[in-house]
Amino acid sequence: MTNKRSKGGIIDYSKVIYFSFNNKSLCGFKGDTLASALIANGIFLVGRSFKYHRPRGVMSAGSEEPNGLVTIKRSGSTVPNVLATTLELYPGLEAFSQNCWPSVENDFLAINDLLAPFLTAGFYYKTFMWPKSFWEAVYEPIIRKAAGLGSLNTKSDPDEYDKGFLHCDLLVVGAGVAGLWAAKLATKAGLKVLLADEDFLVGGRTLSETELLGGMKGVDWASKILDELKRSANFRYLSRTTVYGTYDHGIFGALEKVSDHMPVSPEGKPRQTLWRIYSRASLICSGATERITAFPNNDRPGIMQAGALRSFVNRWSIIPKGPVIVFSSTGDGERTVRDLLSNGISVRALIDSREITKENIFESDGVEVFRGAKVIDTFGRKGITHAEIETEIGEKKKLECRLLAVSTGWNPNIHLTSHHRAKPRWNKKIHSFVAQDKLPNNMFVAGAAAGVFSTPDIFTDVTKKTEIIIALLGFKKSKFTAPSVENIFYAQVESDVIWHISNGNKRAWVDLQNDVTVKDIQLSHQEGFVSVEHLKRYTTLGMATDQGKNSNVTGLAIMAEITGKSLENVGTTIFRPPYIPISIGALAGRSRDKNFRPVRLTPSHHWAKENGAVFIEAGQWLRAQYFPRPGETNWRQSVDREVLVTRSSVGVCDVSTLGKIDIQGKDSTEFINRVYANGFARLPVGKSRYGLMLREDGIVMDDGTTARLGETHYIMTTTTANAVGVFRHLEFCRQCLWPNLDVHLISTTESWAQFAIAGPNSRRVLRKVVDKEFDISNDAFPFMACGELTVFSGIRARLFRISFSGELAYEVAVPSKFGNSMMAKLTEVAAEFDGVPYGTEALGVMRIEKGHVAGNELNGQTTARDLGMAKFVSTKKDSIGAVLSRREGLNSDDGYSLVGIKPHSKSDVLVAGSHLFSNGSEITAKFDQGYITSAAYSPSLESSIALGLLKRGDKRIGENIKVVNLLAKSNTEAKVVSPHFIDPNGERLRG
Amino acid sequence: MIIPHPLLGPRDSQEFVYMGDASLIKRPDPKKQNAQSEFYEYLYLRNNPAGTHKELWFHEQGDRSWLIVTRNTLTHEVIGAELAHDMGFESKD
Amino acid sequence: MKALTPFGIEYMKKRLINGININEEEIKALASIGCAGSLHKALSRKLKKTFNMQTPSPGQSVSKNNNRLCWTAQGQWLLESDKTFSQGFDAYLIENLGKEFAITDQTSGWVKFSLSGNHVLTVLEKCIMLDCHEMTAGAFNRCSMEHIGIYVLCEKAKYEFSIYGPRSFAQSLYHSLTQAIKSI
Repeated sequence: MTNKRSKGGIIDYSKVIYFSFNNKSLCGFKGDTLASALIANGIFLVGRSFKYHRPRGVMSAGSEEPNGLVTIKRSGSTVPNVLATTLELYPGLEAFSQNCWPSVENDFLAINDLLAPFLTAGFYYKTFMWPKSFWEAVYEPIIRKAAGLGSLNTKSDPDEYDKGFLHCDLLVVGAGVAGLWAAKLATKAGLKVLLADEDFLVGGRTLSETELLGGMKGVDWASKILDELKRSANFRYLSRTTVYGTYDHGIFGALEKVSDHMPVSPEGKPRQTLWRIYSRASLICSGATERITAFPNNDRPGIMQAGALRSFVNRWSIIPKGPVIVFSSTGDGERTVRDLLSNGISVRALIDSREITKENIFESDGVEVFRGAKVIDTFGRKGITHAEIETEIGEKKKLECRLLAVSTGWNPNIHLTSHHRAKPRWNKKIHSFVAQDKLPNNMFVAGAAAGVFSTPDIFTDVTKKTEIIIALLGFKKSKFTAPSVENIFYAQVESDVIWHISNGNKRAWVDLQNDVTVKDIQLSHQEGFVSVEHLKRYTTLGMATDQGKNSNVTGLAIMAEITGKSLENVGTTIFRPPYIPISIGALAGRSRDKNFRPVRLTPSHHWAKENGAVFIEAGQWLRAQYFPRPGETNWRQSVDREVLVTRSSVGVCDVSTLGKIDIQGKDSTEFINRVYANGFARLPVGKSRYGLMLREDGIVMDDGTTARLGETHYIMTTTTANAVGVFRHLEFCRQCLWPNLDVHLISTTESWAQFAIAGPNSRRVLRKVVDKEFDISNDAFPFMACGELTVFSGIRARLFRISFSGELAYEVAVPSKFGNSMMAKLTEVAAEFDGVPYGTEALGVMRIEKGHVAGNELNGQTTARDLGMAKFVSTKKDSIGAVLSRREGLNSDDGYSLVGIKPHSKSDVLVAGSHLFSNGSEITAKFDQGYITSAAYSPSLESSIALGLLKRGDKRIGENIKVVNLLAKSNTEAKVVSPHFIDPNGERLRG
Repeated sequence: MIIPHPLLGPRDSQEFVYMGDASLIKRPDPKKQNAQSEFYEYLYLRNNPAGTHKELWFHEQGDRSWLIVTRNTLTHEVIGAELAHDMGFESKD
Repeated sequence: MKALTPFGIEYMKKRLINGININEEEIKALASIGCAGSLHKALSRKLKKTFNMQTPSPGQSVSKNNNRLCWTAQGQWLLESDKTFSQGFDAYLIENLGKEFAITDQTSGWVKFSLSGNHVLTVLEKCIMLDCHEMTAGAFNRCSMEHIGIYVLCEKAKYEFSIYGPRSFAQSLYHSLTQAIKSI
């Protein structure tokens, strides 16, 4: 049965919207939310509760809604836990009840309700304990299936999300009366104002009440103010935007629902945008949430906040079938009755808990008024049919009703004021918490959020607070007169508070969403979980998606009552962001799937791609791993070939990713000498040197080569992985440790493309590349030489004779815009000698064969001594890390030493991470002798080889050991050898 | 968190990398007899005040300057920030 | 030997999306200049002589005759010119400004995109943490966007901006910018 609609309200009757709920076709109008459209269609049963699967209906009209959670179909996917009360109705909306099977009408799991005595707070810890193995396998899966709020479909989120950054002088949260007025004053005074409201209309509570502002209806007054504001260049309005979190120093997080109210997001447009807002001051005008007291069976469909009923009647112009009963402890009871009657809705009775003597102004309308009375029970499983009351004199009466509107006070929405820890304080007058007076980072609160509930008082309050902000930020205030407020109809009589009502053993709900009752709170106290933090976690009160918006204060008040403490002393749990659930997609923004982080391409990337390279991610970089040739089906074939050809002829590899730092200045030599452990003071111009860099604690940080191109000009290289960290460290040394040194650092990793040309034919290749006038013979350009020259007819270049592979080798650098062409030309020349391009895999194999340390060995735990480089830490000068490298603990006789490891059998494979044991030793941690840091198949030796750290390794060359890999359950016989498998005397390098 | 960069104005702390206690600026004299114990204290021993504290931040995504930031560890209030090494450029010219 | 753009091609990418022009701009000459505090006066004199420019303050740049000098750090500036220097921009600068400054060529190391249009601020506020609304022509800042360190230059307040990014990030940066433009 549909309900009637009055022609008033904020509804566009010319725009009919067809939607479906649980596959039933229905219609509503533009301006409806799903909740209002359902109620207009007479549908009150919306879902089933979390634990007990009790029938539930919406109990509010806003974002605090605990019951009306639905799953909607969207963009070919589903979204669970959408609030029916804030979901704007759109054509084709398909919504479904959650947590019920087979239907919300007939839910088999309602059996949980009968098991209620066994499912009280903390039941997990007391029941289902035996047998132990059953918990994980049997009980938990069943309980998990039986309780829940919506389910996730496991498909990828099809919607797009966005992120953004906004700056303002003043952020006003909430565009109700207080927020709009504050925005008006501040904008006129010249502040840059950002106004945000989670609703799709401005006006806040005035949209649902019948007060007149300046003679206008609330909705008209509000939209007029907004239109005026929009004409100012220093004002910006964020509609459908929830400010969900307060962070340090005036930073806020806000979620804008850009197209949630559309069936599909327009092409390329996001569904939601996450805003990071930077403000110099903020004014929280977030209003208040009405609370319903915890009376027995207070959770039936048709029981709602009185304010929500007024919203459905006034804003959404619904005329529900009565009769309605209003239960109140404040003047809002009478206001509600008045509104219902003026819309022709039948009101059975007003149950006023206050013992005040007053005439019954509704007598002529046939409304019975019971003073000093309370509701003690309700009936009607799938929707309320009767309410039982207890009168002043203790008489019990059962009254018929289809709706029960409850008003027992309002809780200011103060979450945002205490995300940065400022604990709220108890306000006796309104029986709720408000923010502290002095808040950090120029945050102020006004209006209902500050506990000011009367509209004229709100204007006064917000004007005062806004003027403080205007002055604080150095602007001049402007003068505006607040509008008149008419049609205020609520008796200004002292309100009463009832936290809960008991009636025998009947359950009274406190947290509707998590199904927590007064009994659970009593049980919590009984079991010793008395503090608010324990109460929350033991009962799960306030832990559902509504985060206790409707239950926290009530729960605390009940605990206070039981413990005999005052509410000021009980305190609250800490509010944490976010105020509403935020989808992970919104937090990711555009950083998802392939684009979740940026990718860095090398200068020769395009050439490599065209030439069939297989790529590998090396940190942020995409590097060519190997270059398969036609006929090669396995990576080993390609890599083995690349190694063998390079060592027998020549190979070319893009090594641009290594960090390059340009160091200049009068004191650059001294600077470099202080940051490297080995000596650099006498490095001649035109020469490079291997440099070992330690951390101040004596552990090796990084290594590289530094070339001296000029008297005061050096180029330092770092490993790819440590480039950023080393630069940071060098700047620390430069700015913080030795600010008086004249030295300048610029990262030039990006500016130069660099290529290794390695192998016996490398000089021959280079001769065809370097312009004729430059002498690169062995005498003119010996091992470790460096210099500036030109290649390919005049392209400026830098040449370094350094070798990572152990072969005769060079690295040539050109400006990166020539990088791609350079790689093409180099490989062309190399091909004349049957040479090949090689990738990171071959690069790795060759350096392991040579015994060069790399990232695996520089693992943050090794010292120079461990790596066989004790002599590299000069005793003739100080350098970073030198002092602590001499610590006893880092120089024990039993310390590690870098060795080579070769398996006895050529068919055995060594794996990095395997541990080393002496022959015959027990394989336990106690007897561990070390581990393998790097391993590879060496085509040169036709065997698996490895580098590793072995205790006293330098004294154990030749020893037979065991290599143990417990993950692969392997135990291999191997020999300790020199880490330099290839050319240990370095003859190839110097040829 | 906002760091008030002395030259660039307020900047989001996401642009920075945190290093540690500002006392790291005072590197001990390696030539002293007890250099090892001094370096040990310099690297590993710290006061941990519940209150104002000076620390080093590197403006990696900005001007690459090292700043000494004074922050209250209880309230997160940032009281001020100064350049670790002010070369004195920006006051004139 | 051909010079190629970071995208591996010879022409500059130019697109018009949602009323925003996003154009790759060629960087003809770019170099950083480092100077010790004691040499600042000397550098200022040389700059005035060679380029008729004074060093800008933090967050700013100055431009004259198609040369732009940008503040990047204390004692460090970035100089861009629209002329090509065959011997290398750094060699030219060493010759004209002197050997006592730390001069490093950066011409190849960066990619530059110009964004212009009536709604350019709507795009930038999706990408950049800084307040681009308040920037006036010449404002120059380093910041980061989608984890990429960039320079942002305001060419014309509220209408035209240039974004400089490291060469290796060019594709990711371009993708991020075009996605942001498409989303407005």
